[in-house]
Amino acid sequence: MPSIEDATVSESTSETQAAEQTAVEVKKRSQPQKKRKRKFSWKKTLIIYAIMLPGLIYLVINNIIPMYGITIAFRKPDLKLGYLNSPFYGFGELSEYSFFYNFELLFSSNQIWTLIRNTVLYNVVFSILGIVIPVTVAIFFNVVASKVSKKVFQTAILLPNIISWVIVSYLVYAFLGPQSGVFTKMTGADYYHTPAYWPFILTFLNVWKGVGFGMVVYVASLVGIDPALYEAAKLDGANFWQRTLHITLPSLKKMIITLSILNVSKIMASDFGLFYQVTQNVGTLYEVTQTLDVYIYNALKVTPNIAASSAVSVFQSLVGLILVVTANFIVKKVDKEDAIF
Amino acid sequence: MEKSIDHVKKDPRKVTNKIPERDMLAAKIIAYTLLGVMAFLALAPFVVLIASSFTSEKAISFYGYGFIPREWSMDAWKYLWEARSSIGMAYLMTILVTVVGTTLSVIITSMFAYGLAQKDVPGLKIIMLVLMLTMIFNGGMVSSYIVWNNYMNIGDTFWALILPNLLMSSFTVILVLSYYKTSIPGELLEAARIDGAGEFTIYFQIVLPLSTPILATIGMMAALAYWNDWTNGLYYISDKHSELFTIQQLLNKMNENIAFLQSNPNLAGEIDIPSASVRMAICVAGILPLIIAFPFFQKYFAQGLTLGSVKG
Repeated sequence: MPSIEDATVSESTSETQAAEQTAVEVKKRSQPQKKRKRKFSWKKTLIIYAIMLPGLIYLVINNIIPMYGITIAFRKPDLKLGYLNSPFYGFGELSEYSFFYNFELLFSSNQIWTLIRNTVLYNVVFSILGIVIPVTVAIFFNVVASKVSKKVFQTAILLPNIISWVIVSYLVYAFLGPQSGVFTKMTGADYYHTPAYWPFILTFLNVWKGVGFGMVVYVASLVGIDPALYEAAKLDGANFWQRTLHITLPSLKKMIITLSILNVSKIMASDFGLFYQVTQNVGTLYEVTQTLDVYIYNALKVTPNIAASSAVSVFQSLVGLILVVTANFIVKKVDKEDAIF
Repeated sequence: MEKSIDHVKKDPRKVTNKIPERDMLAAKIIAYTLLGVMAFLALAPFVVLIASSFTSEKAISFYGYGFIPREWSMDAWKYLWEARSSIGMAYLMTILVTVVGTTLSVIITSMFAYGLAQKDVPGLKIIMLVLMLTMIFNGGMVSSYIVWNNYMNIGDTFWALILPNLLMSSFTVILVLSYYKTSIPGELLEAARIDGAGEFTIYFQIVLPLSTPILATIGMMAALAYWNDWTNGLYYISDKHSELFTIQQLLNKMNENIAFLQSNPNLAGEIDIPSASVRMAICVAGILPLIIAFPFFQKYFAQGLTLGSVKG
């Protein structure tokens, strides 16, 4: 029972010290802090690891082993041996191939460039609108004085945020679906077979679903601005627009910069639900709607091509890693506190 | 004219007071208009959804979807009630997945974070480092799928809906960990240790009760994620095991069938698709608990978002 041993030790020290003068009492306060660096105890270590065990096992299966799984992209898929044991390109029997054979195959096709173009362009547009619109809405949200109105607005605007993309796809279908969609009735357009509409539809939906989230985040950081600044500006005769331009926006600048740099690091990732579910994975729209994540799914489950799928997946992860490290480096330069690691 | 100019000259304070008032009025008009439009855009699709579920099938195919039912009908809801053995099953599955997933998620996350919060246990720094690494790098969907499906063999089982990706994230672990470190006084734990309490007792009797706010937040986030999840079903549950379908996956399946029929119209009649109003009724049933509960947990939801943005 090491804990009881520790208890008796600290009790006896505190008893002896209690008898001494107040000057010593200050020392006593610092002593238990030193004591926190208690010697290593097997029992405690075991118990703590027992408490952590389920989480540890999960972390290993869900996160660590799949990291080893990136080697799949360098192997020739062989179902009999299992994907994690398939032979590597460039070694043994496959030595006439290049080690990067799967990637060479991938990048020699035109399709991958369309995928990258779609993913990157959508992300750029989403990031810009994802900052401009929520910031604007947050600034005006703060103008609303009544608490009830605030709550009603916030609840309504956040609602799209809590529903799944599957439900959103049904909402979209009700408006754009063939024959009976609300907009289809009005315009007569065949939305699900006309790629030209989709960049706008997808962008609108991204904003529609995300604006509430962004607004809450920015409203929270607006709360942090010192009210004295506004009072002083008011006394100097600055009107609302001047105060917004010279106090509010500069206070948000740091957060906006950080968030946009972080967005850069996610430029190869896309919201699978938006691009797969809302477009209903319709082939005629692929030219403008298929992103890397949709391709990975299609090449894994619809028309199986493990090699291509894993190559795209690894490409995405690696570019993501490089970008997040770079982005973090830049954030560190801008402001050390905002760096994530 | 002269009088008013005099008036202005005599009382300049009134002028400076008036200008802010006028621009605040303008700002308020813009604010209410902007937020009103946003709120309308956010809510309007839901109105169509609910209205369509009460519209007769004939009216939908003739007039299209609309904000107000042209011809009221309870047929869709009656159909839903009669098909309760299949659709009700999916509904129960959604509830079961949400309850089991959320419970396990909160327990495992909080235990893991409690372990990480310890100071004198060797190896924790390495685990922390690995945890941070998983935040910025992952093996990607393909290897995750292969590990869970081909090596853990969870495909077509209940656990496929619980385990992959949703159970514990490094992000929530770090949220809980920072709460333990900042909001639970170390002296209290020290005192309990002095009184001879073991680590299990300390965790269950002191740490857990004190950390209910953060556990409620991550529990709510997990519940929402499980209720809305359809990707795990899409990846891991095949059509043969439709008894494991959740509401989300059922809806997704119907979507796939509709898209399939649109590209292969000659196969119509071979695939059974519920009518438009029934599909909308299933959607309404799928979001009803969220819509009812949301105004109440909205505050905590917003708190969770804020926490997330600050730490993440």
